[in-house]
Amino acid sequence: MAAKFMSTEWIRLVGKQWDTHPEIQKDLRNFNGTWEYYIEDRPDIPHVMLFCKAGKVIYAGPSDGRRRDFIMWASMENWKKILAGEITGKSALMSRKLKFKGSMMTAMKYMTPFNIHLNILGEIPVDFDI
Amino acid sequence: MYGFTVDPNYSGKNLPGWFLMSTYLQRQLHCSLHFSPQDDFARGRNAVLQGGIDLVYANPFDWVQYVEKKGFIPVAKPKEHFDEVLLCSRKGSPWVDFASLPERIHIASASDATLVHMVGLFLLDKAEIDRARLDFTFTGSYQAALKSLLQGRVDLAFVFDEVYSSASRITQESLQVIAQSDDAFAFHAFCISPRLAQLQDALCTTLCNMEQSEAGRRLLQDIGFSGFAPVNADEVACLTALAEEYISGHEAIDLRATSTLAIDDSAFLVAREEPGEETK
Repeated sequence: MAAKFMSTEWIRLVGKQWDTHPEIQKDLRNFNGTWEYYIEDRPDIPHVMLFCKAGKVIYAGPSDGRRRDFIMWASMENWKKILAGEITGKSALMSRKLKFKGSMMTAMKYMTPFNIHLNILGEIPVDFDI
Repeated sequence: MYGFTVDPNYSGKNLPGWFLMSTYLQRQLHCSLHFSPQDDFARGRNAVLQGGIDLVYANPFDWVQYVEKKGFIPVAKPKEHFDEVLLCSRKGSPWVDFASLPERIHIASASDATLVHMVGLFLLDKAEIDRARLDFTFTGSYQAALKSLLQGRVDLAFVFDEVYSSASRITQESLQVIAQSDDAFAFHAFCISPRLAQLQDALCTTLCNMEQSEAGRRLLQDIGFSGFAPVNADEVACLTALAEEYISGHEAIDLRATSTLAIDDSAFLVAREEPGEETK
């Protein structure tokens, strides 16, 4: 059964799926950061987050108040497009379909793993009926 | 009379074409322009920031400053073309790839306040070249950076892709490309001052329609473009955020950049959670 989008179950599956992508772990081996996701037009849905340390996801769950290096948010409609792979990471950022708070330089420097990370989000069977 | 200038990289390589461009724009826009080419980046920036220029074709970090400090409006950018960077050594030198680079690496770069420099640093970061190994010579123009490399005064150069692609075959064959960017996010743009704001739509239309007339196509060929496209507000916001961050010097959160700070696991809740477990 598909996980509800932006649920704790969904973000934990994202964390687990990350393990199956050695390329992103290699690309981010010098990277340490936390980031949060939320749905712009669904303020009732709690935010979720990932914590990556040296390329490994070591926390995937509800946003728990720790410092976030990045925050990413989009409308439900745009999240669907991003997860479907209809928009690349770069064009999502440049067109602001994916809103972004944090170091833009870091995002640009790590654009390849950033795109892989969006692909990982899209690999999780998801139920948008939330 | 309105002042018009272009990024020194462009006027330096194709001055007659830009004088013709100035004439073309005056005819199309029915206004009087005074074209004043600049010798280097610093002079070009000063000319705009001191208020003597109302129309400028600028590199991304410069036009972000003009927008922020002088209220300039980005209007049009090269069509399907972005600013990219090549990291080059001299052919025949021992520096053929990242692994072969010397302990101290001497690099020519036009200016540290350019996107070319920033992206060049990214190329080295991606190859895990510690920035502490780098020594820079800032040459004031992209062409001068290339010249420094060819004359053997540096080990490497950050070469703007347009300089590389417009260089002679002999020059290109004298270079060893170690890495090149393919980011496609930054672009030069025509920008107007608030004094010319009433011509924004007309300028955008004129530039974006150049390829539709014989005279326009010929001029585009002269100055080395295939056409122009409108700049949108989202692109401006994105590049502004990027340039401001770079200029502020706050490049965050990669381990090497923060390596002087010990990263202690206890500072974080290290809780790898699997589906089905309770969240900590």
